[in-house]
Amino acid sequence: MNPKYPLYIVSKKRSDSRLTSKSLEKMGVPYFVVIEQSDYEDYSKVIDYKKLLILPEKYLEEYDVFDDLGRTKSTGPGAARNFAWDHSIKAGFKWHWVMDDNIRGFFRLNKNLKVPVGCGSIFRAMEDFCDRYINVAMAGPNYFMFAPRKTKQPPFIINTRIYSCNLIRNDTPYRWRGRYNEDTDISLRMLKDNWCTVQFNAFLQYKITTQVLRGGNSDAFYDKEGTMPKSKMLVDMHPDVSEVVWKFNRWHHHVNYKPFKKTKLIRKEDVDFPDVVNNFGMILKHL
Amino acid sequence: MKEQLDMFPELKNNIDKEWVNMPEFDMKNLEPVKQIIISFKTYGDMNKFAKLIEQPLTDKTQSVWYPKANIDKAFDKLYTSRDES
Repeated sequence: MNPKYPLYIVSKKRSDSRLTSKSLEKMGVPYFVVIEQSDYEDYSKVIDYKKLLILPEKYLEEYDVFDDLGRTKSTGPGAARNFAWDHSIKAGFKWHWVMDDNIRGFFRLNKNLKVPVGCGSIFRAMEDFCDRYINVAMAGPNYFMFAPRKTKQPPFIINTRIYSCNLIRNDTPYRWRGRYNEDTDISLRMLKDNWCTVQFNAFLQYKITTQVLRGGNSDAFYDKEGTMPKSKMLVDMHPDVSEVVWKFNRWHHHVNYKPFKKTKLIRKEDVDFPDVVNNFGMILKHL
Repeated sequence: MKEQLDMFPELKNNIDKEWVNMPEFDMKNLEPVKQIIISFKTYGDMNKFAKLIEQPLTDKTQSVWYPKANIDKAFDKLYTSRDES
């Protein structure tokens, strides 16, 4: 079963690795890759050109980087993500997926095992779940490493940040901004306006750790300036709930999501689901 | 709307009630109640201990459960779509 909403991978200078693209190919899930014009030749050699979308220059020019450095530094992925958002609206969709280009695979957590998923049903399940509520703005799978398999935990949590693989409701009045921490920033803006976000533990993404895979923002940002500008920008954006802290030998940001825990999911009035398991066509195959 | 819900706590979300008509999610607490580091002065001591707990210990062994646990593995499994299997 495939997702009903379009998937976009935002990629830059990673035509060699293209981890997310390879993951979705294995799952048989259709997708687009948003790239900059200068990368087209490299990507068109390895990905069907029909899947490639060139980021229009105006999205880079109009992007709110949230500092005074303009185009002297990379804008980060936000401009391309805004293009994906508009592209999906023009195509008539109510939601869209936008993903980083360094996701090695997708998994289901069940019965204390993290099992790889070889089809698109988990995306469809997340979409159908969000479609039940009137106040979900964004959702996505948790990181593989943040969902310990031996720990009893809920299938999802609400009102936290959604990272790297985002299912976004198109009619919400937001757009990506900032050179760094765009995921945290947009999550916080939604939460402050009393929208809910949903992070699934039942479905996981295995993302390569930031700064390990070359390309993307590694060259443009972290190699030269460290992580302080990244963390400081978030505090500038949301001083009421965030702070800069030093741990694990580098600067991090810490965000307090507690103020948003009181916002609850509100079901659509016409939604009534039978209390039975629906595996969306997935079966556990022993290899 | 938020204030109204706060007045009626029974209407607040119960995650299990929301996870209906969704894929199976059955999780148990499998965390050990206690973990300790055991040090052996000689390989002979290690072998004696292996016999005592009735489990093989080698240079590659990093941890064991006692009593021995049947640990399921994920690497030989795949969730796939019924129509693709």
